[in-house]
Formats: sequence, C-alpha cells, structure tokens
Amino acid sequence: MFGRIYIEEAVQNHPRTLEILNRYDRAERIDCGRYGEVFNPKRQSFRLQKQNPALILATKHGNRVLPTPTGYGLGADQHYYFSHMLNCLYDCRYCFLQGMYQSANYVLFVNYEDFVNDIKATLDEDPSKQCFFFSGYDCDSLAMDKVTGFTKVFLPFFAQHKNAWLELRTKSVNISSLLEREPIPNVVVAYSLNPKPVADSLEHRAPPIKNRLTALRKLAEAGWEIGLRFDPLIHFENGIEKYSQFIDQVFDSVPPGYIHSVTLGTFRSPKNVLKKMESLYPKEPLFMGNLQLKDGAIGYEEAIEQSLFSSVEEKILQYIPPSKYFPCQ
Amino acid sequence: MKQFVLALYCEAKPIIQYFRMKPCGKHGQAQFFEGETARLAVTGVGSLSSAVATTVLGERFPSNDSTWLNIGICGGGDFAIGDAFIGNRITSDYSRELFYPQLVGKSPWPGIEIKTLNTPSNRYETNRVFDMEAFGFYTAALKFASSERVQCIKIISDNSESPKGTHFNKTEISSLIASQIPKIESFLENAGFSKAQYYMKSWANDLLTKAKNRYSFTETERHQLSSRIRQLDALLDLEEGLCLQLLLSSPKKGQFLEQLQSKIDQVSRQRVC
Ligand code: SF4
Repeated sequence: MFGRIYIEEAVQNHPRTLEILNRYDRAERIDCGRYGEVFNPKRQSFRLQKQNPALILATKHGNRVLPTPTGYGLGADQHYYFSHMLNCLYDCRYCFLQGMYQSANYVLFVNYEDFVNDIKATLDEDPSKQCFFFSGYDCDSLAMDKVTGFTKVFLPFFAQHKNAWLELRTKSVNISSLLEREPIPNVVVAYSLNPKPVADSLEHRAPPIKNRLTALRKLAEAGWEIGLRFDPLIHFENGIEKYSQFIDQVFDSVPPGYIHSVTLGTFRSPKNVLKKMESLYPKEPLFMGNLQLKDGAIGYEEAIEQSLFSSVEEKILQYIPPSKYFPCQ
Repeated sequence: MKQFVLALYCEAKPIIQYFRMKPCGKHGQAQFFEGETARLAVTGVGSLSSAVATTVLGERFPSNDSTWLNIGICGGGDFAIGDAFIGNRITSDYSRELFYPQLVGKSPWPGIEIKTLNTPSNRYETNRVFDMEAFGFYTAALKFASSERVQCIKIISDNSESPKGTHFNKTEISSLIASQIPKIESFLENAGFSKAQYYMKSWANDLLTKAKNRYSFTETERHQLSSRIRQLDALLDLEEGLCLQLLLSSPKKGQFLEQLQSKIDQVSRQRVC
C-alpha cells in the first residue's frame, strides 16, 4: 500500500511505528528529523502526490485537542476536535485538505496516548460538563483504521468516560472494528452523504453511496448511534429535487429512530484555500460558477445557498425532530 | 521535456547520443545540448557549477511540465561499482537545509540519501552515498519544477575497496551511465508525471483575441476575461464555444464580461455532476 514510509526520529522505536513497519515490511524507509521537513516544504504537487501518497509516522507536540469554531456543535456544553492523522485516503474534489497542505502524503501521529491524556485533561477541567470530541477533521476517521488502529485505542477510552462524546466522521464502509464490539452509547458514527450524482462525480475513491447506506444500516441495527452529515451541500442542475429524493432514500435505509443527529453544511472555503484547489484542478466545474466572496470566504451566491439550504432543511425536518437537527451555516 | 544535468562530458555522452541531442550553447564552463524530447547541461564538477548551469537551463527554456534529472557517479562504502540509486534525501556538508525528493510512481532503483560534498573524499559510509553536485542541482531545479519532478540518480563508481583516484577511466564512466539508460527511459515514462500540458482550444484563443481587439479592457478586466474564457474552454464543446462569438456584438465590455459569467454559471451547475 505504501511505497515509502518516512519515520520521525522521535517515534522510531514507538510500538505503533514498529507494528506498522512490520506490516509494510516492503516499503522503503526514510528517516527524518521532524515530519514538517517532508510535509511542509513548498514546491510539492498535491495533485501528483495524491496518485501514490507516502506515509509519514510522526509525533504530535501540543495543540492536540482544539475547540471547534463557533457554529459547529451538536448541543453539548463544549465541542472540540482532534486529528490523529493529516490527509485522507479519499479524494473529494470539494475537500479543503487539498488546498490546506503542500503535500498529499499521510501523516500519522502515533502518540495516541498523548491525545487521550489531553482529552482526559479537558474533561477534568469541569467534570460536570458534557464535551463532544470530533475526530476526522483532517482525515477520515475510519478509512485507514486497519493501518492506524485508531478505534482500538480511542473507543475503550470513550466507553469509560460517559461525559465525553466522540464523533467518528467517515465515508468508509470499513466498520468491522465497530461491529465486532458492543456499541458505545456516547460514540456517534457520522456519515458524510451526498446524492449519487454528486458522490459519483466529486467524491473520488470514496465508497459508493449505496455501500455507505448499507454500512449505516448495519451499524444502526447493531445499536450504534448514527449521525447523518449532509455536508457540503452542492449546487447542481435539479439539485433541490435530487436532494429531496436522496433524503427519502437515506431515511428509508436508516429509520429515523436510529438517528442521533443530522447536520447540514454548505460548500464554503477560505479564499486562499479555494484558489489553491482551483489551481490544482483548473477544469473542475465545481470551482467555476455561482460563487461569491463573502467575509474572506468563497461560497455559493446567497440566494442559491439559501434556497438549497432551506429546502434540504425542510425535508430533513419531516423525518426528525428539531432537537436532533444542527445546521452549520 | 526531460532536462538532464550532469557534471562531466563523459557522463553525459551516452545520454546525448541516446536522445540525439546537438550542442545549443554555452555559459561559462557549462555546455548545453538539445534534442526533440530532451535537453542536457554538462555543468562541470561541484555543487555551485551544477546550480548555475541548472538555473541557466531553466531560464533559457521555461517550461511547466519538465522533469529534471541529475545523473552522475558517486562513492558508496559497501555498494558494488555499477549499483544505482535514486536520492530519497539530499543533504550536504555545507548547509543545514535538506530535501526529500517525492516520488509519484515506482522507482527502478532503491532509494538512498545522497550527501553532496564540497571536496572529493575517500570517506565512505554504509547508509548514504557521496557526490559533488546533487544538492546544488536540487536547490536550483526546485525553482522550475515541483519536488516530484526533480530527481537525482547516482551510480557507484568508487567504494571502500576501490577508492576514488585508484581508477578513473572516462570510458568506464560512460558505460556505467549507459547501462542505466533503459531504466531511466522507463522511469520517465512510468513515473506518473508525464501529464499533458493544458492548452486552450482554438475557438477560445480566437474569442480571447477578438475580445481584446474589440474592447479596451483594464488590467483587472483582462484578468477576468482570460479567466472566464479559460473556464468556458473547459466547460464547452466546440459548437457551444463557437456560439460565444455572438456575444461580441455587445456594445459594452461590462455586458460582454457579464454574459460570459452567466454562461459559466449556467453550464457549471450542469457539468458539476
Ligand atoms: S472523505 Fe472527507 S477528509 Fe476525505 S477527502 Fe473526502 S472530504 Fe476530505
């Protein structure tokens, strides 16, 4: 799977590093001082690297658990996010990662225990508060779980800390690590979903929608809390009608009773990030029409965004109570 | 276009012959050669000479999709003479900077650290090879291409058993390089970076020229014009593109630019999926 694995000096003897190296024993190993030496230099082509990314094993120093921006929450007292990995197996054309980083190589921070300690410290600041932790901000939470062993470490921790919620944000159908264990009531498996035409044209290498819905259903039937993330909403010809049919299809696969929460988000990105995405894919129609710059971010023109957002919102609220609905606009 | 950078003429000779290159100029001690699909610089020995000649080659022949290869001999402790490597880490004995050339496809050579020395040395190590150009070349070539398109390939010419100076035969060096040509060719073909460059279709170029002649645009409007026509070029087929000529009947440039944008808005939502 990986032609090259870069190994930061500090994690050369880390048990997780050794396990991964053992598994990918044919990959070329390259030592580096700090992961940024490989990951951060300019003059790298994200698009070329995406064809065959290397893996960088590193340690994350500080800033491991961060508060989410205002407007992103699921009704808990406090919301945080953390990223044990940078970059994703999939290649969604709307993904901000391609405009954020110089490199498409995967960075895996193997010091999970430090993340767990920081989450614990955050919880200990005020044990009376309910805190939500989002994983899968800079990656897909489950897509590379077989390589990273992420759920093996984080799920047992959340199983023991009932005032902490974990969201696993994913498009992956790699759910065996979840189905093999008892569901954890404070862990939400949240699927990013878009109608088939959008998924087929823009969510490259991600599992087809049909398979995601099957995975969702299996998880729901096994008792896992399910999140639906219609994010980002994409404007396309007859889009409102297609979204409406799609939402029927989703709730047909996963009865509303199983749903923990539904969020809606629009397609929006900081100007410099979108410009970089556009320069990587100058022929991509997604970056061309019906866009406007507002408060430093590029998104759909107000009228388009509003009509798409409100029609999808209205449809969702036909299936679930407002208490389970969280718009991010 | 392939851009080869080599220190010595005896190293370059088999490549010049293989790609049928002809001399095309000089700069100081550097000599340049050109063929249909490749260019080459013979730089002279040393990191600085390599950097200077690489820069001259890049500036003389600007191109967005070139692949840059520094090929040459190197010293390596336990490796056999003739073993070849691709640099996966480029360091030097005079700078704290270092590079990690990124690979897109598969390499036919194992990767290794190449350490560039300022002066020749008979000191060998097991986990790296030593040369005198790679670092200078890499620093300079990165100005013209991204890291995936800049690679260093080194062939062992001396080792701890046969140190530098005990044998240095130009014919042998030429044949060491010549032996790698098939792999170099297949690497360049399969390395995944031979992307076609993006050219606008002729209807789009035509529309751009006519619009510039018809209206008097400001600098910002010119920028908008090029960007909108480039987007329409990606969105429309020939027939649809030719219809845009009708928009040139707009009496005002602002109206013309707005009509181009409306077309983009309309077609992009149809083509997004
Ligand atoms: S799955 Fe998410 S993180 Fe991965 S490429 Fe798509 S949008 Fe980005």
